[in-house]
Amino acid sequence: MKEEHKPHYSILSNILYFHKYAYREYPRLAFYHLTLIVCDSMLPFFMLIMPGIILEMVVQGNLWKGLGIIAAAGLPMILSRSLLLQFTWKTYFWENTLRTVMLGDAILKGMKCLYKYVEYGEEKKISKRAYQSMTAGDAAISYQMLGLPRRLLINIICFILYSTVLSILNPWLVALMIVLSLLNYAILKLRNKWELALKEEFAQSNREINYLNKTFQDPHMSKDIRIFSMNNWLMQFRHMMFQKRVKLEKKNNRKRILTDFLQQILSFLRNGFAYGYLISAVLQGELSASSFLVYFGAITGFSSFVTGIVNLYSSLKAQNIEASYYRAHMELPEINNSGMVPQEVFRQPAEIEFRDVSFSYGNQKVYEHFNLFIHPGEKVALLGVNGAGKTTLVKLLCGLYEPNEGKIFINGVDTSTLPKRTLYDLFSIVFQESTILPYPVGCNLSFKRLSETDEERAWTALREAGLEKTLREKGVGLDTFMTKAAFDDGLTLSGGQTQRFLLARALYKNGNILILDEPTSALDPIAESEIYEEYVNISKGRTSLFISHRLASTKFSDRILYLENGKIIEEGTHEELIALGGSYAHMYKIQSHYYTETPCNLNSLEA
Amino acid sequence: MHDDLTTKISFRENLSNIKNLISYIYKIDKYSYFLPALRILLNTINSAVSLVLTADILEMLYQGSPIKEIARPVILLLALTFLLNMAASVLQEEFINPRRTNVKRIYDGNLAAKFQQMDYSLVDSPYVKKLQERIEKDNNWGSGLNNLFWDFDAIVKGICNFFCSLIIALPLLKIIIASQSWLMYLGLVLLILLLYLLTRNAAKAEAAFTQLLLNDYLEQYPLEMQKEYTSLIWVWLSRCLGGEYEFIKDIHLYDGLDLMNKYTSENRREQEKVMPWAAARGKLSGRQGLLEGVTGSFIILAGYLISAGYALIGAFPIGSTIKFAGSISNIMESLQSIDSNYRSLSLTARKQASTLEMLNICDEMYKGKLPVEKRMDHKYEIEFRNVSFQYPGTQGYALKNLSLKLRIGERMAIVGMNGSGKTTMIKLLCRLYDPQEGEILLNGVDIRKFAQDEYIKLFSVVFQDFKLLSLPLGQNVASSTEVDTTLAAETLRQAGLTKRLQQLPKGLNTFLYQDIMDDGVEISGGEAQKIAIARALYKDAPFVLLDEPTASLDPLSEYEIYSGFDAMVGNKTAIYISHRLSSCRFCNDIAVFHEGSLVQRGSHEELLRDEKGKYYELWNAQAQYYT
Repeated sequence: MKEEHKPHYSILSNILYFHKYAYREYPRLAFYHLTLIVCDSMLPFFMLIMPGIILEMVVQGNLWKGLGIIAAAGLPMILSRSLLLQFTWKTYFWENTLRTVMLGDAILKGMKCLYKYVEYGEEKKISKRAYQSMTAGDAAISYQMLGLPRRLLINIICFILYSTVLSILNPWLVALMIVLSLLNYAILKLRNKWELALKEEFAQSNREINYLNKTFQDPHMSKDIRIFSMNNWLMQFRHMMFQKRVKLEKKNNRKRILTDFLQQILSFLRNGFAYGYLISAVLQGELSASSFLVYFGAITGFSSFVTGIVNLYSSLKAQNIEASYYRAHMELPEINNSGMVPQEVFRQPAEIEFRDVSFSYGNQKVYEHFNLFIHPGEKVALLGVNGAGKTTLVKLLCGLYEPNEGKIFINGVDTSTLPKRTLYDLFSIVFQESTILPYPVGCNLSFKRLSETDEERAWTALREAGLEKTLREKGVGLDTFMTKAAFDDGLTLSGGQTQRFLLARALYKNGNILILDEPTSALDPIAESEIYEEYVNISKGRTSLFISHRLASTKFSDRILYLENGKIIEEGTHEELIALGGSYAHMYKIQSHYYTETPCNLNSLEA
Repeated sequence: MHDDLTTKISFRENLSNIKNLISYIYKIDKYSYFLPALRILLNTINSAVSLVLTADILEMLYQGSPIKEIARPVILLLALTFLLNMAASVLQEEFINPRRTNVKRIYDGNLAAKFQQMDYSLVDSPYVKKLQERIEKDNNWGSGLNNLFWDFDAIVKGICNFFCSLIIALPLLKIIIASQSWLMYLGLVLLILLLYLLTRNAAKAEAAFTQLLLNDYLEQYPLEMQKEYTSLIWVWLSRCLGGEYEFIKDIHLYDGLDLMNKYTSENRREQEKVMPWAAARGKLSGRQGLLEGVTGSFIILAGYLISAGYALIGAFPIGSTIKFAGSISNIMESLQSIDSNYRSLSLTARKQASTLEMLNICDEMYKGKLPVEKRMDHKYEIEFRNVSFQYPGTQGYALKNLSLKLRIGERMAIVGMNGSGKTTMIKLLCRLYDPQEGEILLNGVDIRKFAQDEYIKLFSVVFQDFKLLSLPLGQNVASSTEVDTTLAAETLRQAGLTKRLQQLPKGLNTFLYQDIMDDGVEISGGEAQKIAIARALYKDAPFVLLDEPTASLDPLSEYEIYSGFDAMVGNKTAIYISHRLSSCRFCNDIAVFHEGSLVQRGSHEELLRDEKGKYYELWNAQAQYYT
């Protein structure tokens, strides 16, 4: 992946972002977090001084006074520990809820952005990684960005408390401890550096392993894997990936042991010093034997906080990258819904003009200075080989894509000045690969809530698409759920019925411009022919565009456009183009000669 | 309090779940248990010895012993800590971590691979689909197999800790028994009583809470709303993660955002208000935490209080206070920890039960062992005899009483309307499913009697919904890591991809798509279809089955493939399914399917003569536009 496209936000701003998000959704989390910080930083401190107090009590031999002291020191300990555990659990569950909310919002956000962000370009990678960051179970970014800063703060507070204890004994002790901790930090830094060096390799390895697992579990792969006996191939691949991974991990582990060793030496020195210093202090009477334990604990505990601070900070830095992806995704520009709406745009039937339009996917040019005029009410057939740019043209026209140069006009209005919503509303489009949602039939037709779906209009649309009878026979209502994703008894449609349903959806919308993009590729001849007839009916009085590989569709079009490499190389009626004898005629001949020659052959046979 | 929400899962069921999980992992790598146990033992010994030595040092300090005498336990303590820690670290990093990561990888990998190794009919069955959903849900939170390791380690630690602390505390017990003082006996009784009361309460709260978690996974609350919400959000997510963003354009064009909102965020927020378990979960988890905290801190305090009490009445020296206090609270803590980690282990095992169930699914199709005779002349004859088939979980027959003989070395076309059983017939032929009635014969022998891995070698199939992998192009064609490059290039040429192949920077080694490699190439649907055809040709099987191989191709590419088809197939037997009836003209044998039955069979000319036949109707529906 190229470096320059990585989104970046500062750690602090991301921490604020996630906390604001959390507290806006669940204000109670603010209270939980605060309690956790207070209790978690106080608890180690209470635990530290407790043995000293108790030993001192035994030494003094005063039972009642001793009990009083224990109560005074013990109560806050009990309290902080109890609250800590209680709120840890509560926080976990509310943060879990928060995660699903944030994930839902991210998904919705993906639907609000410019469409091109989901189809091509760097933004696609950002969004994908944002979703992944939220689905990593307990390692999801929302937990991390709330948990890591909190734990960092707790470690800092503990660090300050322990420093205070030590400086009472000898301020130089604090200085020495900081030096030792910094040495420890240097070792950790080394370890991080080594791990960072392998990071890319680990990421690649993860990618491979995840892909393979996903592939294995993909039910659509099942048939091919069995027919072509791919199991051996895939298992071999898996074996290779695992071997590679084990080697990588080994490299990493050896380095970890080395740093562990260095750290152990350091803590050996530190503890040796602590014993030497404290014992001599006790023997010289500067320190009571009872407080020996307290100070020893303070010295040995001290470095754990420094280490904690360093570790947490570096995790935070690493997680900040993921957090930035989430945030970058959430801050992608949304589609523009403002602007003036001149009334002539709604004039029926609509007139369309492409003026000097250029468009490219990244570096791949599709259209250059493209011009096209479609008259009001004209029925246009769009043809061309795979990859000629037919679907791109549709997406440009309806505003899903935006041209890099040039303008598109509808009824003389520049579509780039229109609010996106208004532009989208002008079209009824059936795409090649449209989705049936796991929602009720009514919602699927209207893309609105059931309460906002016009029942009569819905049934009319279904009737016109030739589906009403089928559905009525099955006892299906507008509130029947479709697909089996949510309910086992959900309605499933066959390929042909699905195409009809999509047509009904376009009819329900009743847009001024009708576009059908390969609506018949999955249909049997009879269903195909029926769809053609429907098309003729519903396109009456509307400007319409029909894309199909089956050239039969051109028969009922006013004009045929033959596209090649982003240019219209031929246009005219069927008869004109056949007479021209160019690419269209060639294509038509290829497809039709089996049909047309048949009668001749038959006749000659019979004769 | 929330008894209605907490149906009991029996102790026996928990135990058997745990046993299954542990033994499955044991079979993968038993050392992933033994080595950590050793490491934990080392750590426990380390802390026990530290406790004892620290007490000694402290005692010496109270007595004001000379520095030389104190130095001995100090040095011993330092050296021992260093050595034991180092040993533990080497164990952990060099042996335990790699082994456990490997175990996790194998476990996940086995689950994934299982899916491709079981009978296809199972993959497609509602049972496996449901199970898959459950697995997904079970792994939605928590840390999967890591939880097993954590729980296991914690229990082992508890056991080690218990015994080590008991050994340390033994002198205290001796002192108490030897003292023959009723005060001392009373102290001991009180200690045991306190321990019992505290742990019992905490365990109760925790049990209720764990039960709640377990129940979440048992789906005790099939509330429509929850079901709707969870499944829907996952539908979108798996789409988005799978890179299928296309559906979003419909949401744009049809202004569907409000509807999406209803089914994602809005439902989630609604759900919190309505669902009893959401509230109960928050409350119970808080209560459990509170009790756990109180018990835990009382245990520590109690240890101190009791040993301080005994020290005050002179039962043992002051320095030992620390030792006994530590060991008493350790004993109590380890008992509590064993108990609570047993619960957490039950939850872990419960969540993995679905995965294990999947891993243990047995194939149900009869596995024949007969080898398939190798014939260079491709003289294999296939016959369907009274075959009927019904998809599991559906009503009505997909194929009904089908009898059909394939003519060796000929091209047969199967035509019919959507849902007439054409693809089903192909699936039965490849034995992805077994028919419920009738039989399919290869050279007169029921195909069930053949070894499936040999039988499947007879078929090259391009399915309508074929898939390619994000691996190198050459390997995709060869379906193997070993690629015959000449043959692969030749088959790609036959499929009409020579030009594209020449453009690829790494040729056959170019990765398809960008799932694994950033320099992989994106290919169009048409190109993918051609690669799939090349893959079928590469396999060079005696039967070639093409199920709508040109559906997404433009007329020119379609023609290329059609016209090269005869040459491509050679003397093999081919079955051809297409909605473009013009393609039937290649075939002298056309079978017309209607509603699961074979209704007509013959040459194009013969079939067209029957003006009442289905074929006539299908043909004219299409041909009318070309005349």
